[in-house]
Amino acid sequence: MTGVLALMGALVAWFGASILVLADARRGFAFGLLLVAAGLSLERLAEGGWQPALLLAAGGLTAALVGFRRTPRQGWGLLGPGSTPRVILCLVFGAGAVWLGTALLTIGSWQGRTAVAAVAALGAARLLTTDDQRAGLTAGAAVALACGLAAGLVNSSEAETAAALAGALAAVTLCAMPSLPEAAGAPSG
Amino acid sequence: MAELALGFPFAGALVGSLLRRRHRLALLACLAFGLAGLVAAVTARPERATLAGLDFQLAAPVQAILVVSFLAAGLAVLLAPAGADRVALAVSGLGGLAAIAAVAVLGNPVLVALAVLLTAGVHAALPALRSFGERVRAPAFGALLLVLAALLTAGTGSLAGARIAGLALVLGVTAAIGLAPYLGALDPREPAPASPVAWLGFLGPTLVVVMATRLSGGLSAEAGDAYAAVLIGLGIFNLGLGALGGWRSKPGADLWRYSFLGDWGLVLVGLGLLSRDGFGAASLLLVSILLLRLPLYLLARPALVKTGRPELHAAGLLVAAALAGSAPFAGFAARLLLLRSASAVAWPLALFLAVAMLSWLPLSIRLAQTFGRPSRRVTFGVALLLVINLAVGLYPAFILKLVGAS
Repeated sequence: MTGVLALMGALVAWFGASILVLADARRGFAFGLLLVAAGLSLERLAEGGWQPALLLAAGGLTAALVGFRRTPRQGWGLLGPGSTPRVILCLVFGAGAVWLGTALLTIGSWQGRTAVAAVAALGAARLLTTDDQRAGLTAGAAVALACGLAAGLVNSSEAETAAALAGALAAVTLCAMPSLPEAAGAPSG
Repeated sequence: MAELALGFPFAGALVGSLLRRRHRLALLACLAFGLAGLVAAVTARPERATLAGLDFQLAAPVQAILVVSFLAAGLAVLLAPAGADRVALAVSGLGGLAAIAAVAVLGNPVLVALAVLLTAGVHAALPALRSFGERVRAPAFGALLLVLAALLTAGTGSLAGARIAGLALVLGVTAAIGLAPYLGALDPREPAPASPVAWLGFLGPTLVVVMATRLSGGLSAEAGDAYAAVLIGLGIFNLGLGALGGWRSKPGADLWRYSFLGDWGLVLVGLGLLSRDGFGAASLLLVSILLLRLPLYLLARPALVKTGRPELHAAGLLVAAALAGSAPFAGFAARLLLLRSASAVAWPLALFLAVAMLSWLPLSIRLAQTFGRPSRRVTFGVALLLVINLAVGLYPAFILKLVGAS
């Protein structure tokens, strides 16, 4: 049962990160980040760490709300014209994350590794390919939450809570950064 | 005590930005918190401490570069051009110091990468001339590679994974700093805290020392070979590109950018040699970047914006000598140590390094011309920096002892 819940957490986190890749407006960004936080905290909760799970969820929720208020573009902005390559990217990176989590990395559970790899890879893809500041910062916040979980995997179990807190604080800080003028942060398309 | 070196600058940046309308009070608060952070960095002990399960450690070489970074931030605020917003500069400096201290003291490599990612996001969100995407790409990519390196170092079942860890570590650090092949454009009109020089001249030195002393410690022997080879390869690439780019550039911001690249090339080669002399040379060069090249660029920036006619004054020759690493300045001892270390490994490498070092002699004269006709404030700043550099050059054993390379 624990393994199934952790797998569900990894799937939800991958789906949330995919929404971050596919969205171009504030509802999409906020929903994607919420799903990422929910997925990562479900994965952590399934493995018995309720404190880091709570911190990741609270951090994700706060970051999503702050980011929602800071993003000027209204609506969902999902699956706009020309988004087929991004859909393919989400599928390929999802498969790549499973391979990385099961074959290459060995720390923690494979579900946890896969969740971290999926969010980090998709968040990185969004962050490194966009000129839109809000999209980039939201993707950065998702990666920060994944780092909060990963840091707990690398260190001793006592550090999990502090690492999750660090990831949550970093996510909120990134989403709270004020928006630059539109000219310097136009949508990526 | 090590965690206070992170806490004080962070609190100072917060208090300074809250008090920014009360100019004098904000500057005093920044000064007080900056000094408190400096004292915490100086008096921190190298033993590992645990707080809420997290490891904090400030190894001796990292501590030395962190202290020098505090001094560099102080010099940047002290020597700010007339009319500059010193409060904004002090707040940015303290924010940068908090980021540097986080990288320096955090024992968990994923949290180090998280600190780099957060710094990249905040730095790219500052108002500047270049777009967000252009500014965030290199450091964010570096942070992500550092996460990959940390996860692979912590646990991988394959030889390929171990090698990728070494590769990702070096590429991650070079990307975060903004060295070639991740080099960004340097526009002198852009405020220094938001420009790539913040990574090249301020955040980079501590990050690279943390890489060499702590992050690389967990690599396996196979990964260690890849790590050293990539460091030397990237060092030669940056050195060559710096010299070539410098020759092709007019006296201006581009020439300064390539001069940073030239110094960083020497640093990477020094670290890649994996010897005591190589590490000592790299440390001296990093001190020279923090206490000479970075503040000199900040002093030259107003003249670079005006793009006036290049002029060389008598004092300019001394500046050129210091920038080129001539005796008796700090760069000379660093270059001698590097040549000694490289010649013990492979003489063609030492020959290449010597040619690249010599190529910067005429280029440094052109760099010194970028000051134009210096004002009294700039002349005072240049004199102060030359005296500091001269002191380090005359007694490099002090720095070498601090970093454990004597």
